[in-house]
Amino acid sequence: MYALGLESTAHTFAGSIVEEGGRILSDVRESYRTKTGGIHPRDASRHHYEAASSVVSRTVSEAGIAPSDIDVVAFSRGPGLGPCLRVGATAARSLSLFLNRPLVGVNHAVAHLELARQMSGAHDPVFLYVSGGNTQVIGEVDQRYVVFGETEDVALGNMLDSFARAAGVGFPGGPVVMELATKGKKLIQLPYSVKGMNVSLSGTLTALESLIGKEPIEDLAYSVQEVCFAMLLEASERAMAYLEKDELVVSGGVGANSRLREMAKVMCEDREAKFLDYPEKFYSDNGVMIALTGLSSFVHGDTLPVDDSTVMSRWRVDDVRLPRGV
Amino acid sequence: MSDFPEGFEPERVLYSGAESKIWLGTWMDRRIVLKQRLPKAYRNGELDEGLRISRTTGEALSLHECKLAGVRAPYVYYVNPKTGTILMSYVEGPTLTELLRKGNGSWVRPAGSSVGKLHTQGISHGDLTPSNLLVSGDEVVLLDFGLSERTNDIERFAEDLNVMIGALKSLVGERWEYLWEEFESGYLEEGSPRCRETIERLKLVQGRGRYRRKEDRRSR
Repeated sequence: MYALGLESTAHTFAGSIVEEGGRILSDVRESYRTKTGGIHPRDASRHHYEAASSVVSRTVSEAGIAPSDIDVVAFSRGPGLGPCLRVGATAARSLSLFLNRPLVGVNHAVAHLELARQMSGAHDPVFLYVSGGNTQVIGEVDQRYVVFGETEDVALGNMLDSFARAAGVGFPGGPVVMELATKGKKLIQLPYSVKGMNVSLSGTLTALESLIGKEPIEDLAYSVQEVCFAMLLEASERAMAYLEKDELVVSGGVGANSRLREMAKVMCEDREAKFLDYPEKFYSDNGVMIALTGLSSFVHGDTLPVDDSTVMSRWRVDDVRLPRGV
Repeated sequence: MSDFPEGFEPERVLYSGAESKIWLGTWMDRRIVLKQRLPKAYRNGELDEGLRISRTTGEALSLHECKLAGVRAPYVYYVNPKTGTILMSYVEGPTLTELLRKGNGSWVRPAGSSVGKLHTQGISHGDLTPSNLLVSGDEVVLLDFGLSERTNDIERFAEDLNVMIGALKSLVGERWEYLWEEFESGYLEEGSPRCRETIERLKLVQGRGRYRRKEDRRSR
């Protein structure tokens, strides 16, 4: 059985075909990039619109199967930017109708976590889900991903992007900040705000922006990583202690930051827990996670009539009943 | 390694938390609890030391000020910010988490009342989960003031309640709403204007997470 998955929540339009059992047949991605500023939803959706047809045909041709071999069409239904989501949804609906195959709407966050869980081989981990739009500490309870802690204001990736933009070093900010941070040495005092398993990042961002030009950019980049990552790992560690779990899995685009993963590893070793890593390229948005999650939802009978397949840009991760068991 | 004050005889580790380790032992012929914030290797050294010192002193001060509020909390016997150590009295009893897991919700209201007194006194807890509330005899005892603040900022108090709601949801699922009503009525028992204001602010705080449903956002 084969599933085609389409991802289009934010900056990336991606497609993938996976086989039942988890084999990945194709993984095609096209990302929207800007020289200055962040994501403009309209421009990003235009990028997706222009990339869609080529991504879909490469997804099928690289998989080496005929379009008619596809058993189910899955798409990322939310959460995300409305205009971007609608491009993926439109493409998926057309394919579903054209191929006469069922449609499955996948929650983007659930897909990230499901892929991370499978690739890392974790059984019952605490997840630290950090991306451009999300910063959450999550665990599975009764077939649901429950959010135990989250940012009370801006998401970590968004915050790094805002800092990079204010400093004039480009988008996406994460990789640039990571590069600059390797040359930073001095720790600059920044607000450190952990509230139980929640964090607040907006005060740190404001303080940081006021220091641009007054302190070396490398030291600011170094300090923002040290302070913010420590906050998130403290929240994650508290969740592990509270829920008595001994595995940590990081997921989402900011997980591609090697300093964050290094800190996560040290934290876990210190408490005799396991930090379970997996290939870096699967931290960022991709179609594989949509295809895999869509396939297991389909197996559990969770399909979506085309008429009801509106996108859900504010769909929360804990609203989804997970496809588990027989 | 652990840096114990003179005369402390550790018996066993009671709890290994996110930022501290808690031992049960004896000191000057007393059953006593030692809480120590050990250095975190993942954290930048300077950041780590600053956090451990400020949290240790802050915790000791908050524990002391609980007495002024008429809220029961462990008594502090010894503080050493350099080693991140606090010695405090040992309180025995089940935590609210343990009671709730057994289906016993009768202590939720008194717990709310204790938290109301704490806030009225100007102390926010910072990690207000049912695991940090203990029932000893016929009294609720508050534990773990490591993230507490002495403040008059309503926001801090509302965040405490928000953490409590999150913890109740994860602990008992759909029954949380009933338990929250109990907690809230205990919280408002003393009739302090601050508590009423905090409940109002809570609605704002709850609307702030990512992707709230529309009806949850109404107050914004």
